[in-house]
Amino acid sequence: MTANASPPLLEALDVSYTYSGLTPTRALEDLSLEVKENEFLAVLGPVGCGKTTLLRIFAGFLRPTKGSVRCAGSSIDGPGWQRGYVLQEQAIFPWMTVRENLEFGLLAKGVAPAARRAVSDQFLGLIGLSEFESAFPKELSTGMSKMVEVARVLATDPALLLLDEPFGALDAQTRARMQDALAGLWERRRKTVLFVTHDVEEALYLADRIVVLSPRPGKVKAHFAVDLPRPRSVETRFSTGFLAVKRKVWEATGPGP
Amino acid sequence: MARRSLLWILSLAALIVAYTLVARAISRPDVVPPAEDIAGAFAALLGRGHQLPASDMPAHHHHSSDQVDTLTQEGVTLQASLAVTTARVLFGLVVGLPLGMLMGLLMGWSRRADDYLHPIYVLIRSVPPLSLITYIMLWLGHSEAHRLIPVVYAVAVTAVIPTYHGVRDVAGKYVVAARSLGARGRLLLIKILLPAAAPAVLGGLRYSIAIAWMTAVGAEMLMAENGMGNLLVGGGMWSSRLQTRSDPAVIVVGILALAAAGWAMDMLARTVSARLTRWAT
Ligand SMILES: Nc1ncnc2c1ncn2[C@@H]1O[C@H](COP(=O)(O)OP(=O)(O)OP(=O)(O)O)[C@@H](O)[C@H]1O
Ligand SMILES: [Mg+2]
Repeated sequence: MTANASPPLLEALDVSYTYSGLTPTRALEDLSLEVKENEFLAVLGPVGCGKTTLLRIFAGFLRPTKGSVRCAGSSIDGPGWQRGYVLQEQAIFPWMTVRENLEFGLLAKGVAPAARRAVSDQFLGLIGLSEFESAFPKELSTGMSKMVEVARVLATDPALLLLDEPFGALDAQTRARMQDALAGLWERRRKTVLFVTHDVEEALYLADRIVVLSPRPGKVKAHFAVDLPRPRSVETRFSTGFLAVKRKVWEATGPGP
Repeated sequence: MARRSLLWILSLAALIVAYTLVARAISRPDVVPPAEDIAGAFAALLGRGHQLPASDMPAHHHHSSDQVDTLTQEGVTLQASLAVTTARVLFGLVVGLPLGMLMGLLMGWSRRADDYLHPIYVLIRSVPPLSLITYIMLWLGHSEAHRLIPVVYAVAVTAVIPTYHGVRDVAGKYVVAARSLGARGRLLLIKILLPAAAPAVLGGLRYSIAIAWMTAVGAEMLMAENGMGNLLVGGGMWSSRLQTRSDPAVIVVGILALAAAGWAMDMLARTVSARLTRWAT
């Protein structure tokens, strides 16, 4: 594979993170991880194992207590649009219309209004929300809002996408639809993606590779390559290849013997 | 809409009738003035009797009393008094709100600023606004300053906490998302921080308005020769006030006018807030 030859776009080396406080919490311990350019990596792990903490470190909002994190060769020092981050909680700006939300990153970059409009037009089409361009987020469903948040980050064209359980709060059907939408977006414009979830099937359906974290303090427990053909579809979910990897991942994530 | 205003008028009429009956039953005009006295005082205070010298007025045609006489001699009218107090309230809001919001923003934004400013804020806030009057007079003598500064101060101190909580408790996740999209500095302040805090700040505005009226009228009652507070205590400086017998009808008119003005301003604030935060549910 050519991807193996290129240097990692994102790497964490022996990262530990401890939340200070009355009872200090060790969230991550000696975690090492590499994400290659244009790779879709899913991170699986039980509740409270430090997935969000890891993303916040990559996004530049937390500094590792120990170890180092690097993006595109240089050490991460504060947030920036090159590392687009979609939070676990709803963070669509409720005081902006859907279009204004999509254009916000470009506004911050100083892009001219006409060029901003062209980009937001394109993303409105991609996520199928053209009729909602001037609606406020209160008129959107949770899933639609999340798609806007993902598209909002993509609109600035970052090198890396950090997604924290973007479809965690959705029902199974909407979830599958959103996964297809995301996979479609990703196949059209390749990006490096770090996708956090605790749904094994979601990880398998979307990712090139899966990393499983141990319970808190989080460290890498296992890796799995997902060599399934793209574009993936409903058929993929029931293929023997899919089920074979699913069994392996399931055994690694489950309580074990 | 028409139905609602009809109900409104009906309940107001019922209130007046009930008041008249109660006033008659109690029969203590020195504390519960009859409705016609209130109406008379209202007319007199609107300046009806002012064209004629007070002494020429037959007492049975116009509502007359020590307090009304003192006030009309000084040229005091209800509408002018209300205008002056409203102006002081507005001045307090226009100057005090930005000051309070600035402090709230700083404290909500930076942990360090919060650590330094919060104890100081609580100390400052604990000083009753009217207690500043005499100290300001030490500096500036008898001037407009000791009526305006307490109002500004009261408004500012009231505006701090809603802004603080709006920024600290609400804005956090939006700031994280915005910074990841590359926003910094002024853009972050204007497009993210202020709108995120807006519902809390506008909710607090209603308290600020109420506090501004209380403080302005209080300051006027103590040290002013105009405004609603002056009208309530019967005009003149304190020395002469002791000789003036209070007229219950004037006091009731003053209180009702203040209630109406406070209601109107709150209504306006709510309308403006709703317009500004149409995006919120
Ligand atoms: N701000 C904080 N202060 C103190 N402790 C925290 C803080 N945020 C998280 N923690 C602790 O760190 C650990 C890891 O939290 P984190 O949010 O990274 O987990 P997670 O894997 O994202 O969980 P989930 O699947 O529920 O989203 C948890 O035990 C949590 O209690
Ligand atoms: Mg999390």
